[in-house]
Amino acid sequence: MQDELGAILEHFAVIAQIDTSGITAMTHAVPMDMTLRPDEPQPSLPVEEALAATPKRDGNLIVVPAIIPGAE
Amino acid sequence: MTEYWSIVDTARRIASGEITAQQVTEAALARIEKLDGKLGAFLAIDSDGARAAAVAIDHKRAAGQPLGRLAGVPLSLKDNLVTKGVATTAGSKILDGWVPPYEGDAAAKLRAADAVILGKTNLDEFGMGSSTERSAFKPTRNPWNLDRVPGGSSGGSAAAVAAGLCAGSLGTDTGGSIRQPAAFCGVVGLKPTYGRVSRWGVIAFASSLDQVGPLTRTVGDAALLLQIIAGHDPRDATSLDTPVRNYGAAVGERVNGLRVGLPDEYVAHPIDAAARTALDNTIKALRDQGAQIVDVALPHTHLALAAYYIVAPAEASSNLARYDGIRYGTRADAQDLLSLYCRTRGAGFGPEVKRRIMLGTYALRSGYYDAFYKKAQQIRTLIKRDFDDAFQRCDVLLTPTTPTPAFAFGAKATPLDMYLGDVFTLACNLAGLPGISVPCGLSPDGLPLGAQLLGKPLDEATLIRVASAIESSVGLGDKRPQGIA
Repeated sequence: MQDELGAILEHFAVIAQIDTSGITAMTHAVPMDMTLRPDEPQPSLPVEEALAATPKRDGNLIVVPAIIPGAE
Repeated sequence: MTEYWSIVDTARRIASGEITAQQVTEAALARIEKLDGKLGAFLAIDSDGARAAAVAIDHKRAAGQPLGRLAGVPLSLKDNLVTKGVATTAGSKILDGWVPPYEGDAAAKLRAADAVILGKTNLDEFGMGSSTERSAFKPTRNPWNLDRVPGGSSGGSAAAVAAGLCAGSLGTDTGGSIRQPAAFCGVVGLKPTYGRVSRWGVIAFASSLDQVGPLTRTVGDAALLLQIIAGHDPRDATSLDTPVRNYGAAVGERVNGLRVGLPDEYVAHPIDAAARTALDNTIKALRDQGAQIVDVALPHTHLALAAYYIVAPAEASSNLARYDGIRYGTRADAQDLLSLYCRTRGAGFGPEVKRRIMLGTYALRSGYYDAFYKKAQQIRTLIKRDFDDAFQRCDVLLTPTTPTPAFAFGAKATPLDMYLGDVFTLACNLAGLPGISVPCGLSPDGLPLGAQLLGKPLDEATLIRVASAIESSVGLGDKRPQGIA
């Protein structure tokens, strides 16, 4: 995989030679104001449905391995 | 009998009572049962859900209630479109067994129009590929020749539509993933303007490029499906709040006087002789119908591939961070958090996904951001300006969809070889434009070829108009795939 990644990056180095000074970076395809919905409570998933895919749970909590070694 | 009926025709026959939704659904399920073992187009068949929907539609009709525009039409969805209660994998082991608790916008709109959703179609893992060979579950075969790939990443959708396993399908297109498989399988594939169709419930690959669109056997069907899925959705912050046009009205509209641009850089690119012939025939057919062919330049075209393969992996590396075994993803056994992340992602992602995550994180890392990611975004601006300039001189652009017809399994020896095949489709996504691929002939060995049309933002209607002219002149007519005969 290392060789493949090397070949890909070498191919893409073509863009380094292009003078882009003064060109605005395009972050989105269509100019638009970012629209935000009103911050109002909406109906959401019932707890059982939302937690259905959880591999391990304790009541309504999701159980995950401890982040700090030795902690429970 | 029903397998090659168009969407428009199927809906009309069911609405008139000539055939029931249950009969059409049973025929489609039987055809999937008979042929999909060879093709591998579907990852999941929801026969119970499809039958229940068909019964409900027939009851609705019997009761004299108004029917939706897709009443009883058997459709499929690419498996990166979320479906409530139906397993959704995005072609990845990391989501194997996940049953979404909510409905994506695409599925919801089809169901609201009374479509029957048969199941979920195969794809390259998370949409990253151009052959469907990168699905974690199985390859899909091209119904025109089972030794060839169907293209990708929406290869399952394209193969299913081409083989008459469903009347139409929805896919996603991030760099050509609707148009390229459509071209390889001899069907119509339409990628709408970025923001025209909601991405709510699309499993994200590259969020500034991803767009949902139809794969169908006719241009009229593509227009109808677009009509149904287009529109503003407040749940997608990039969704455009502009009126949806009447796309069906553009089908069959004459093209005389329309200016069709041929980009020099695409015409000069080396392509297969069969693809060249198909393009020449298409140009002649449009000219014969009164269209004016004009030469245009898109001078930054040669930079599109590099820009795309920096921007898309960068966004993918960020989007796929959520598959950590805790927020999303099949959790691997581990005693501590770091091992859990490493084992989950190590086992859950395939090689192409890992490669793109590494490319993306490389492009975004401190000290390299300006040289790669920012530069690629600036080149995106240059590419967009090229298109803006070209559309001063023409109404629509015509190019081949792919440099060759469908290639054989394993033919692309390296990832870079695979990426280079996307050369004609990527720039459209970088610029956010609408694009369509429409069949424009067969190669001497019987493989379909596609003509690609690119349009001005939100001008899908002109694409449909010109695609319809190509369909009626150099399209495939009644020719059907031979690989499954």
